[in-house]
Order: sequence, then C-alpha cells, then structure tokens
Amino acid sequence: MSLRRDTLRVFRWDLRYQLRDLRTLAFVLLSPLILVPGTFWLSQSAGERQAQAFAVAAPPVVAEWTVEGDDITVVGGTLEEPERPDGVELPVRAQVVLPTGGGGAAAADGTDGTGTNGTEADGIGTDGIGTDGIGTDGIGTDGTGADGRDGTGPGVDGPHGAGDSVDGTSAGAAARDETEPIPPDAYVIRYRGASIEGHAALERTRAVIRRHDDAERAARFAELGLPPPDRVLAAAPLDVASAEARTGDLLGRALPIVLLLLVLSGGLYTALDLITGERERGTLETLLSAPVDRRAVLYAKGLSVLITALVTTAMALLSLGLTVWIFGLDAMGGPEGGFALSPGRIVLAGALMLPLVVMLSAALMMLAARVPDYKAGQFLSAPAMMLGLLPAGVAALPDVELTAFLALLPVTGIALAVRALLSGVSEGWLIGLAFAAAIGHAAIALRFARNALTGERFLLGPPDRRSRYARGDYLPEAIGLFVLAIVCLWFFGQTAQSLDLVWGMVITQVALIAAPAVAMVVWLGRPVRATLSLRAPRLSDLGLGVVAGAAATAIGQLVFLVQAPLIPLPESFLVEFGEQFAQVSLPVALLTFAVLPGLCEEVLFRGAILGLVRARLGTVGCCLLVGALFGLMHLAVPRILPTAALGVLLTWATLRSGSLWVPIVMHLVHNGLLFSLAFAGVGEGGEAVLPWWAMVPIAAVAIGAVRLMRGRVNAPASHRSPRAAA
Amino acid sequence: MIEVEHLSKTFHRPERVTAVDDVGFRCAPGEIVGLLGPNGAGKTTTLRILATLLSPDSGRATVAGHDVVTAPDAVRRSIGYLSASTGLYPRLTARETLVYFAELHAVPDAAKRADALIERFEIGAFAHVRCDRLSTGMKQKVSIARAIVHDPPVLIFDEPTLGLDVLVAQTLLAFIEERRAAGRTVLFSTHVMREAERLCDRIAIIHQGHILAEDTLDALQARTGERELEQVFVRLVEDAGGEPAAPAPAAPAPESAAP
Repeated sequence: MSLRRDTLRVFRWDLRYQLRDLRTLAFVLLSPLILVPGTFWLSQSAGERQAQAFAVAAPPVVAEWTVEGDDITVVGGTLEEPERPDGVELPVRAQVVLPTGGGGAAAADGTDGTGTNGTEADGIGTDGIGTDGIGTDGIGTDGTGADGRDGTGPGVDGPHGAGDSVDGTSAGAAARDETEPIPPDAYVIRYRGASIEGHAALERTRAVIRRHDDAERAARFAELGLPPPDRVLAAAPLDVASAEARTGDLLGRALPIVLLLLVLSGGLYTALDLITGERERGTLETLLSAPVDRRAVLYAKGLSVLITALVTTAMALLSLGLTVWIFGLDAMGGPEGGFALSPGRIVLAGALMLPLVVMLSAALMMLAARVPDYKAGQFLSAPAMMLGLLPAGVAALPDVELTAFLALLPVTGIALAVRALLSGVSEGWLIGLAFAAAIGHAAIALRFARNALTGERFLLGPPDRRSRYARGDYLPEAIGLFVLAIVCLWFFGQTAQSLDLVWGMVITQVALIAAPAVAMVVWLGRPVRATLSLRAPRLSDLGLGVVAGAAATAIGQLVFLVQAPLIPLPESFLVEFGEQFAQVSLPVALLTFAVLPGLCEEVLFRGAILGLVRARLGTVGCCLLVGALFGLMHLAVPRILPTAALGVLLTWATLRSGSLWVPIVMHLVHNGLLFSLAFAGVGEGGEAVLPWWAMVPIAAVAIGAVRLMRGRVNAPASHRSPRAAA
Repeated sequence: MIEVEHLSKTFHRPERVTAVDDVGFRCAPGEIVGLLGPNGAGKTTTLRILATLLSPDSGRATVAGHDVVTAPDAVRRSIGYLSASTGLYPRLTARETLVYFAELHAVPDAAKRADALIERFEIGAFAHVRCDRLSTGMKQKVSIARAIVHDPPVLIFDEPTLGLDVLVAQTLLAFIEERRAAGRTVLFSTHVMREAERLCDRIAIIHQGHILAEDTLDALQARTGERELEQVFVRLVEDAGGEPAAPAPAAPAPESAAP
C-alpha cells in the first residue's frame, strides 16, 4: 500500500517538476510536431525536384538517333521550352562517348564543341535537354538547338572525334570510369552522378540508346521474318503479397527504429534531469532521508521517463497523422493500394513493443545513474543512442527473418517480431518467444536500474570530476573521445572513403580523427602541447624510431600468423586491399596511407588519448588501453590484434621517448614500408614476406629499439587544469 | 536519542579511504552535540550513516531507539535531516517544497502544516517564488522548514551555517537552541569553532575518521589545559600524533560528496 502511495506521490511531484522544464517540453511536445512535417516537407520538395528533373528526361522529348557505320545522327526532336517546369535548371551532365573510333575520348559539346563549361557540366553544354546537341562528327556542334545556350545535349563522341573537347571530370571520377570494364564496342555515357540532373541526363541518354537499339533489333528480326523480339517471351510482374502484408512489411521495418529513436530521445532529458540532476542539485539526499520506500523512488522516476518517452512517441504519431492528413497518403510514398492493416494488428504490435519501451527506459535510467553529471550524460547520449539503434537496424535489413536465436536478442528480437506480426509471415510461437524474451530483458534492465539507483555509489556519485581533473585523470573523457571518433568513422568516414578513396582518407584522418582529438584537449582546458607530447625528440630516439617502425612490420605479420587459425584473413579482404592500390600511384599511396595516418592517428591515440589517461594508468595500463583502442579503430576483425600490437609498441615508444614525433616517425616508416612492399608485389596474396623464424628476431629488434629510447619520460601530469581550477 | 558505537565505513573508489573509523558518541534528548572537525574528517559520512543514506561496514548506530541498518524506515520517520547543500528543487516554489515533503512524511494536513511553517520562518514573502530564484539565506530557511516539516524528535544538520550571512546564521543558531528547549535531540556538524562553543552541550572532535574526544567544553578545556576551543582541537590532534588540519573560521567549500 505504502509503496504505491509513495510511488504516486514522488511521481506526481516529479511530473510537476518536469513539466516546468522548457527543454523537456521542447523535446517531448514541440520537436515531434515540428520535425515530422518539417522533415517530410524537405524530403518532398527534394523528391519533387527530382521527379521534375526526371520528368523532363522522359523519352518523348528526346530525339531519335540513327547510326550508320561509325556516324551517329540525330533526327528531329527539339525540346519545347514550355515543357520544362519552371525554375528547374537542368544542365546536361552526360555525354556519350564511342571509344572505339580512335582519337581518344573526345567529347561532343553542344555549346561550342570545346567544353568551356567543363567544370560544371562535364564538358557539355549548360542546360539543354539533349534533343539536339549531338554532333555527328563528335565535336558536338550546336546541332539543331534553338540557340547555343539551350540547345545542348548529351554529346556523343564520334569515332573520329577531334580530341579537343574538354573532359571536365575530376581525376578521381576519371579513374573510377577507367576501372570499370567497358566492352570495346560500347558507347560510354559519361555523366556526373553527384547530381539529380546528372542521373536524369544519364537516364535520358540511355532511353534514347535503348529505343534505337530496340528499333534496330526489331528491324533485323523483321528482315528474318520473325516477330519483334519483345514478343518472343513476354513477362510481366505481379505482386502476390496482400496489401496488408506489403503495408505490414513496410511499417514493420520502420516502426521499431522510429520508436526506439523517439523513446530514447524523449526519455533522455527526463532521465538526466530526474536522476543525474537530482544528485547534482543535492535533492537526492533529502529525498532518500525521507520515509519513502526506495523502490518507490525508482518506480516513480521510471514512470516519469516511460511517460515522457510514450508522450513523445504519441506526439510523433499524432504529428505523422497530421502530416498524412495535410499532404495526403500518396504524397508520402505509402504502399500501393494505400495502407491496409487491421487495427488489431497495430494494437498487438504496440503491446509487443511495450516491454522494449520499458527496457529502454530502464537503460536510460541506468545511463543517468552512472554518468558523472548532466553534461557528461548529454555528451554520451548520442553514441548511446547509435548503439541502441544498431540492433534495431538489423531488423530492417533484407533477408533477416525472425529465428529462435534472433528472437532471444534484446531489441533485435522484438523489432523482428513486430515486422513478422505486421506482415504475417512468421509463426506465432516465435513472436511469443521474442515477447517473452523482451519481458525478461526488461526485468533484467529494471533490476540493474534499481541497483544503479539505490546503491551508495549513485548517492555518492562518481569521484568528483574536479578532483579527478586536478589529478590529471581524464579517462572517461578519453574513452568518450574514442567513441566519438569511431562513431564518426563508422557513419561518415567509410562513406567518404567509398566515394573517393584519397580524399575520403584525407577527410577521415584530418576532420574525424585529428581535429576532434585536438578539440577535446582544448575543450578540457588542457595545455595542448604538453598533453599531446609535442616536444622535440632526442635525435637518437628518432633514429631508434625509424628502426623500430621498420622492424615492427614483423610484429604485425607474426600476430597475423598466430591468429590465422582462429581469425583467417578472408580473400575478399586482400582483393579489396589490392583494388584500393590499383587506384593510386605509390607516391599518393605513401602520402595517403603512411604520412597522413602517421600524423593524424598519432595525434589521436598517442597524443590526446594517451595524454588524457597517462596520469591515471601506469605504463602497462596505458600501453594496453591505447593499443586496444587503436586496434578497435581499424574496424576489420582480422586487423584488430595486429594493429593493437603495433599500438602497444607505439604507446610504449611515446612514454619512453616523451615525444609524439617518435611514434609519428615509427608509424610512418611502418606503413610506408608495408605499402612499398605491396607495390613491389612482395607478399601478394597474403603470404608472409619472411618465414616466422626470421620474423621473430626482427620483432625483437623493434622491441629492443623502443627499450633503448631514453628521452624525457613523461611525468604523471599532476598540473591542475584551468577548467578544474575554475 | 542517538547512540553510535564502533562505527566504521570505508570507501573503495577511487582509492581505498577509511572515512569513519571506530566512531562512537551519544546524544540525548534536549541536548545539542556538535561533531567538530575539518573538511574530510568524516563528519558528513557519519551523519549520512545516521540518516540511513549510507550503511556502515561495522559498528552500530541507533536513532530514537531504531537501528539504522535494521529499521531504516523508522529512523527516517524520526529524523529531520539537513544536508550540506540546501537540497531544494529549483523548479518548485518554497511552499510546494514544504507540501511535497509533508506529503512524503504523511503529515495529515500537508498544506496547513506548510502554511504554519511559512509563518513560523517568515518566508511568506517568497513562498510562491521558485527556489532557484531565492537567495542563499532564503533557501536555507526553506531547507530548515522542510527538515522539520514532520516535527521530528531528532535533528541531524550537516554544516547548517555554511555560506550563510551573519544574520541568517544567527537566526538559525537561535532556532537550534529553541529546538533543544523543546526537548529535541540535535546533532550537527561544523568546522566553525565559535558555533560549537556557543551551542553545544557536548562536543565530539573528529579527525581523519577518528573521534579524538567527546565531552562538554569545560571537560575538554580541563583535559587539554587550553581555554579556546581552537587550541583544544589543535592539542587533541597533536596528542593523537596527527598533523593539525586547522579548521577555517570562515566557511569554505562544502565537504565533497565522496571522500
């Protein structure tokens, strides 16, 4: 009785307290109301622009071609100006090149044949729609265009192209084009894929060629007295899934992720304010010294977090409903035939997700109880949220179905169960299993949350941050920096590198690795040079660094050999590695993969992270931690241990020499040697360069060289930081 | 009545520190006992154990006849605890704070009790102002009213005059004297010698987790041969073989939450 009474009392006052917080109100009420229609409006207007661009690119407005021998002729078809939607600028960004004709890949240019617009429009005219700018001689005269400005089109390079046209693509794009296998007699359609207009132009040009091809094929079949080829085997797609299943699948993939995001973002501020804040402002002591059941405090706060999370979700759904009502369902890209889902299933899906919401609320409470303060809680919330989204994201992947094993996993199980329930493709017992498992997860999470909230450690809080700072101990911040860097690397770095290897590496190394490291040191108010160990090294240490860096290649190879039975090196790994090389020359590779990581990764690991933890951990602790983090940063599983071993050596070298320049040189020499060997074709196919017995003494040389370093060994940083002093 | 025997408490994070080591003292009804010691002496930890916020590693403590370990709820009902920070909810008003805690203590008519305290402590002028907009003195008045909202027989105050101006501090000390006159048990910690001299019937001097002496001021003076309490303190610390950590006359930063 008293437990319920106490819970309701604390909850009522917590809620009243919470409703007076503008941040909570903004998060719970306003942000869903603004974000959902806002995001939709943005995506819709982008979609509309894309649709307009493609509408213009539709085949009817495009000219017909004929090809006789090597000559390409465009017959008829000019674009009527009114057909172009207002305000849509469509610089043509595709050209067709026939590479077999000799004379190189000269581009026809609709405007003036020399591609003055090369930088913007890939050597093609400004904004024509491509009905007329296709030169018969590969020079791309103005064709039949109304005027030079508008009447440009995808240029076709004739076989005897003059070769004086400008190819406006960047070196990277050119390189990419060259790596793709092109049949010798194919037309090459050069286009700039980074823009909607580029894709539109590509589609339009393809359509022209396709229709020409179809017509040509039909004519040849007719000559042989055969029916047109598209009649030989006609095929038409027919979706046999019910409208309900289609809707369910679509909704089932999106709903768990959306719910997770809403619950986490909605409940976060409440959790931090009512739990972390309660301790920070000293009210926790007064609350716990009152005759209130400790469980009541836990339940009341849990209820507050849960309710704000659910209200945020409800507001988002309401906002979604309003958006549908305003913009219409069709505009929102709903499944064909509209939404068809029984209310019963939706209610069941909601019930299925309830334990997940409870578990997430408990997780938020644990986070709030464990973080040192409000600020740290906000800092950790983004990586924590991404961590939570990953298992839900698994359920949205194609080919991942609910199995007994997956049903038992937290988050993933219920996300898959929701999809299975909504699309009606899975067996009931599996959904039941996922639900039971989710209840179990929620119970475990609540148990942990209770321990976190009622333990003395929560009341006392983590060691006072200021006294920790005064000791020079920044371990949590260093881990936070690493998490931040790895999350950025995962989400942005990989994308950047897949778009363009060299520039992607530059962006990754400078903006995602080195810059956050320096920014964190500055933000913490630490002296940058001292923390990063940016001191002039002893020359002897630098020399030893060169030796150690070169010899350290053997350490990595040895670890590869030792781990091979357990963690084999997949062949695709080597192939990808080789493909990367094929794109760049040795000097570029050395700059990108040796010099750049040598500088930037060292600034992060042996500079910032080591500088922030060395007052807390001893030499062994520093080496193990920084080495392990360095290994983890390299994402691919087979590389973790070898890289971690190198990381340990680099960290030790920093501590021995007292200068960051020594590990920079080591890293640079190590990577440079590996890449030079790879370029020379040594060790191709993944086999070791030397037998293991030869590598052991070389590895010993690396260790010995570091052991001999005797520069200024870093004294534990005990200086008080300006921030701590403040 | 507060009885403490052989109380010990060790913290293990970030490093091992014995905050309270074999502490023992008594505090009878109608008596004010001062726990006197410098920052980090173990005062807050001792009071937190008595307020059932921390559990002792060993030893025994009873408050109003209830054991802090086996009957924490009964202990909480018996005490009015004032922590070193004012411990007020910034977004609640002074009156709301009093009503909230009256409800938590199951006071029959919470609103009426809150109004009575508002009158008693003369906080009517700012009773409907959010606590984050109050001055330190106002906050402390609200805090004290909150601590005695259920009229407890035992008062445990942790550095109650910390950060207060002279006038507010005097009001507070007068209030503590009044509670003694009403037959309440008052235990308060301080590192300000003058407060202890003025108020305390008995003084327990604590240093580095140990009680060095516990007696009346007269007895302590006789035992050390010193007249000023400050000198008494220094002598006791020296006798115990420790470095005297001179208590500050002014009010420095509060004792940190963790040792």
